Amino acid sequence: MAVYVARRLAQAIPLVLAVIILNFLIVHVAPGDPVNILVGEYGSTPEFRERVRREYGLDQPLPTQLAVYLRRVLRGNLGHSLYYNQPVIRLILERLPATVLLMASQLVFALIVGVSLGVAAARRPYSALDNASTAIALVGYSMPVFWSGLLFILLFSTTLGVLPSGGMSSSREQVQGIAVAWDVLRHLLLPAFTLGLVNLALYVRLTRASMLEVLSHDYVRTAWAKGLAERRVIRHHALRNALLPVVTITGIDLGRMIGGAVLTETVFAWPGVGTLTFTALQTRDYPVIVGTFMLVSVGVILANLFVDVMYRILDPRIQYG
Amino acid sequence: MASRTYRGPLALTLALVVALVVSTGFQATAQAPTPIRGGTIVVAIGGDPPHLNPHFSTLPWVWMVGMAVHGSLVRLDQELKPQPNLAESWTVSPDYKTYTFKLVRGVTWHDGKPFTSADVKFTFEEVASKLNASGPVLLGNLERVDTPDPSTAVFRFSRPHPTLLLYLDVPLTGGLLPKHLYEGTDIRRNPVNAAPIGVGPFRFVEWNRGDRIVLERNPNYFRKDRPYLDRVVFRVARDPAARVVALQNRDVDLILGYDLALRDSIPIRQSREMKAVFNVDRAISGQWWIGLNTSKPPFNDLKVRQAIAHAINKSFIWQRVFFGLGKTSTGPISQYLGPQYNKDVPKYNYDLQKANQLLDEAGVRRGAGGIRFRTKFTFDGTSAEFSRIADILKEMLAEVGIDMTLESFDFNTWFDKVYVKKDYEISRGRHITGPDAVGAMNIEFHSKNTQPGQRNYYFYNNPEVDRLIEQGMVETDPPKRLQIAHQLQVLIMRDLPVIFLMDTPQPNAYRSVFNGLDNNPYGAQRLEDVWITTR
Repeated sequence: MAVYVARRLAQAIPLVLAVIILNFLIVHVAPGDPVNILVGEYGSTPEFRERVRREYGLDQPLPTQLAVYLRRVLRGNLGHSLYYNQPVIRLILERLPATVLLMASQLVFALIVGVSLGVAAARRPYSALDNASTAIALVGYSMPVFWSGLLFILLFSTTLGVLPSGGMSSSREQVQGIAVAWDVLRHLLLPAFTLGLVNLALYVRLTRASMLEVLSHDYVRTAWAKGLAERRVIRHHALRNALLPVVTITGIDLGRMIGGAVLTETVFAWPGVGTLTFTALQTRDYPVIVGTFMLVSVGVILANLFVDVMYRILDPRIQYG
Repeated sequence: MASRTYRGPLALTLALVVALVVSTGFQATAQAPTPIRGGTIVVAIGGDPPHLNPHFSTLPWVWMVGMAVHGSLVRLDQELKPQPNLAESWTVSPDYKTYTFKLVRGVTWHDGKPFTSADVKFTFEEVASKLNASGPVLLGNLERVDTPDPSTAVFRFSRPHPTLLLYLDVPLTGGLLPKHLYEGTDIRRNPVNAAPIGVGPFRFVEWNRGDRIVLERNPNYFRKDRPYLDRVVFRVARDPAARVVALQNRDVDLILGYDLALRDSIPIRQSREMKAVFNVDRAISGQWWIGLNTSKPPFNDLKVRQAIAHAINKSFIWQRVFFGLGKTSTGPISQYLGPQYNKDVPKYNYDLQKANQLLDEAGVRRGAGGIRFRTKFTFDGTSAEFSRIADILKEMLAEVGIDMTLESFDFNTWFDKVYVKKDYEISRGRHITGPDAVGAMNIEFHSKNTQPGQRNYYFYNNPEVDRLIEQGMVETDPPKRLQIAHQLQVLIMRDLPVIFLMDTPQPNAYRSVFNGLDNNPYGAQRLEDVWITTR
């Protein structure tokens, strides 16, 4: 297993490099210019524009800029943001805790509720519970988060007044100690629920379909025939195998986690990596765009590796060469 | 007889009026609320600022933090009159080439170091005139700043600069910077830009990027009775609808006009708990217009431009897009700019018959399908208002046989296409026409300002306009300068490189318990005068 993991990690290096080069070229040939944001709209001179371009090294030919960037990345330096004038790594690390908190919370919520509902629905297909879970899945998946988010804000924040409408912590009160955790939790509930609802739909449908298939296999029928308790049949025999596709999707979600969720972060004013990337795209902040894309690709590669390892744990028959 | 007949009732009426006025006056005096100290204001801002140095940004959020933290020599009042601030007085030489400012003594930066004329010299010589994008245009003729003593700064210009005082407030070029923290550093990348030290009413506390900027009262502020508030929190709220809901929920207290869609201000105006006040931001005097690329046929033909102006029903746009807020434009200067605005300019009323006649005269006749010519409208789809205007314009121009396709981009791409590459035929514009009308027209309409990134993207070129602008820029006699501003508006409306659509004041929305807002002509709010009625 260790050899397999090491080999996969070694294979990932050229892949990450290819992603960096591709992203670097794409964002640089895309229309727009970071200088437009750096000088502003209020009538600057062409000389001033050129001076700013020179100051930021944007006057260099693209291959030179790429070579400089790659040299920096190999030294562990993701460069300097053009918009914020801050090291890219610092900007990403500042936003990462908020992103991981939001994405992990919604994933845990979606996974626990989604798999539970999926199993229950598969156990009693076409029952009221199954129909209800299908309805929840359809509504959850088809409602865009910027819309469902606003509806939840109107319900829980404006009408009921039980949860704050946005942000990661209170603006007016200065909370300290354990109250900080409670404050963050109150702010986290709505965005995590809104985002989790979309993924929940996916997990419900996936688990249900997978469980229905597994429950029809001979070995499950044998387990029933042996007189095993329902809980044991479902948990130990059926669910374990039915979870493989769920693990695949979870792995992809885990990998994408680092990229944040632009729409949810926007609606709930959540200060995550998603809105950082969005701002970077708007302002053509090349180093931040390439930096976040690189981290997302590293995240996806590592998550896929994690998924492959999980397969082995869930299904000992799987062997890696 | 007649006078005797009317004297009694007249006297009675007068007495009643006087009594009413006096009693109202006394009542007003008696009830004039006394500002209360303390409290926090939470300001929703629509995006994450790049930094907090007002010299390197034209974003109102940066200006607003700048006015709270940095401080300036003078401050403009609502009538655009410069009032003393950190300069307690000043004198101007008769040729307007030398300004001598006397600074308030005993002022300290937020880190405790003394504020002196050396800081003023450093700010204007090293930053405002060199690194500020507006510097070369607004302060380009600054030769040097002399500092005969720590509380005197003498600005010397190579040419008369009659409007300097209009540009010494924090927005644009006036924010004061501490020499001891910037000198000898890479000013643009100095960490102080993200954690500013100023001489203003509030001190910087923290900035969690993407989330909030926190300021607190400066206990050593030179105006002893200011500020009233203890704390200011700028909270990033990107979603326009969520911003308004946050205001309704009292999670935020103020949304700047820059961040408030006009349609969202309507329910706020109908609420008792909130206000949507149309700030007459005279210094900016925003205007919406569409620019025509006069270097390309058929827009190089005056009759075609006039026909387009006659084909546009501005009142319809005013009602449907601007909900009857603001005013339809009549010329290149906003009606909200005061005396500098000239109403006596050539008019182009909505008249389809006239539009068709002018197009016929220009030789662009209807062809197959009744189409005279095809064109493109290039705009940034990030503006809800311009997206709607684009749809309406397409329909209106189709009425006179102009087939216009819509070309929508994100802001940066649009800016690059239109301002930098000038690769467009018709485009949108949202511009500021103040604080000085001649200065604004210089930036927009002088033929030298057609280079990449410059604002005359219409390629407008009228030597008479250029001559008048140059004359106006150095004219030291205010009535003559006003006359030039008025003349320019007539000439520009005669040539019509741009179709002026709307003069729009910006509605600031805030909770009704806040007082002292709407006190800044730059759209961004000056927070040192703000106080809360109840806490």
